[in-house]
Amino acid sequence: MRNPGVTAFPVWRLQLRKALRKRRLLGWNFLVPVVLLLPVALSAAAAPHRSVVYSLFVVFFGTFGSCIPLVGDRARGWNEKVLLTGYPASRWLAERLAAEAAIDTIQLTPTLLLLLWIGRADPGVYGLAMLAVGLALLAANAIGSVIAALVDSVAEAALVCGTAALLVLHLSGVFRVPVTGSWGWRAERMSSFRPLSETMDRMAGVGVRCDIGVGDWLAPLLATAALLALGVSFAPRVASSASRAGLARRPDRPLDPV
Amino acid sequence: MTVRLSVRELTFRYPTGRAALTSCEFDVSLGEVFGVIGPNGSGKSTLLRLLAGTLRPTSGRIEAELDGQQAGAIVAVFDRLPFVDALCGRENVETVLALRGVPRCESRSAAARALAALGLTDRAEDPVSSYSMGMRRRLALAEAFASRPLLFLLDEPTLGLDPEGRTTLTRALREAAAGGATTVLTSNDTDFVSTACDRVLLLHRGETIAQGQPWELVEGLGRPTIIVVELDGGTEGFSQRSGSKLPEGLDLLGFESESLRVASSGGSARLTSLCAWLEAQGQVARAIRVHAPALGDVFLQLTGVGLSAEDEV
Repeated sequence: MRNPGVTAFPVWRLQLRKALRKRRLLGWNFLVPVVLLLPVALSAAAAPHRSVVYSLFVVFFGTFGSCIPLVGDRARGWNEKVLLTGYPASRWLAERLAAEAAIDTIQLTPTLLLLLWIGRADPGVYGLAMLAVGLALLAANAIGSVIAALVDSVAEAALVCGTAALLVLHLSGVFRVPVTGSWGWRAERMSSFRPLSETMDRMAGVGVRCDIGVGDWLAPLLATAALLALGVSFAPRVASSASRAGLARRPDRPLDPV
Repeated sequence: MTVRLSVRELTFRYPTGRAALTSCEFDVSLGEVFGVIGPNGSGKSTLLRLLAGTLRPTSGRIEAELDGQQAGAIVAVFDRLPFVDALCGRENVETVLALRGVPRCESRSAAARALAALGLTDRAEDPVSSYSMGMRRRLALAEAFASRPLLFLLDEPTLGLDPEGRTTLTRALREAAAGGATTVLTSNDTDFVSTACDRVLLLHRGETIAQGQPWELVEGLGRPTIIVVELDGGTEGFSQRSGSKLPEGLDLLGFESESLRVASSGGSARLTSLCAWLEAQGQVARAIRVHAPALGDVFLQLTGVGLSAEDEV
């Protein structure tokens, strides 16, 4: 049983508090999506192309936004400091990823509203879009944490995040329509980013290419849960360079019992 | 809740094969402040990281008689001092306490007490981004003391601290030790280690070269304390007429133009009898300098190099 009075989800709270205190960064995170996506939405580009740009942006926002701060915090010793308090590594990363995905979703809300208004999409799409964007950001954050466990520096992180984001979007049917029954089609059905791709199509005015029903959310939800579990399993490697090099013990049990 | 450490045959090699620590052995008793001294690259920080579990030993054991859970029982402060710079000092301490599972009602008072003990009350509400290096060090120590752990692992805790900060740290460590907390710290500051630590271990290139109580190691050198007294009016004339013998434990080494050099076998404790003797001789001391052998001299004698003579390996 939890000790009464103990702060619940301290890492989640810390991430939200940090985001609110860094007002300048918060402002940029609201502004940049608008500045980048508004010209696309207002351009004469074909609706499918606009939709691809929207999806790309969301996935890049999630992977880069998760991976680069994690690598930076590892380099300055913050992640290790959190684990040295005895806080469980998997819980730390799960809370952090969930908080980052929630913050990302809030930061993208004004942009999504603008795109909805410009694309004259059915307002009913908005609720679906928010869910799809939230799910995609959670998955993208999880991918970012896996990448953080594999790379050494921010420069490496940027390169790998870009490549991984393009690859997962390709597997989600963003760039092409796979042949029904093919492995690509199966991958698309299971992808965490499929709902994102479908709803962005509708927001961009592509029309319903493959309408997404309640049952169609199950596989992407499970895929996202699997990605989160994978990301969290890498928590010690995300936390410390010594763990990444296989040189560390479990920080919660450093000593041998007598 | 107590902790007692026993380190046996502890060795750590990097994947390149370079040994950072070789067959290190020591015991730390309950409530003891144990210091590890050595120049840069001698393996001090590696030893602390092995104790904290952020590194895994290549061989050897670190045994702990520990009542209760290990998680949260150990506090480690390493050379890097990461904080959430956007938050204030108090919020940083409270965050660490929240991660350690300290209830909110307790964490606020514990943070305030620790910040006051480290002299940070006036700046507790300022963002950490505005803190100097010394203040960041104090904040890291405040986080450590607020957590009330069983085992403190402190890497170079005096780095960036002013003399007042060192005194505060020494006092806080002694208080924690009196409360049963055990401390292992590394430092190159031999004055601080001599004052704060019950026992010390001297490391050189990853190998233990000596361990014991600081005074015991210094006494083992067999070197006297040198006292240099500058006299008002110089030593001319005085050197000829000072016929009376120096008090017991003091030997006259010689005269210089304005000062005399005396060797004391009883350290600076013989200073009072020297002053009384000078007064009896009708001499007035303008300045007195005491050169006592220190742990740095022990290290120099045992290794042939000074504590700050080596570059990082």
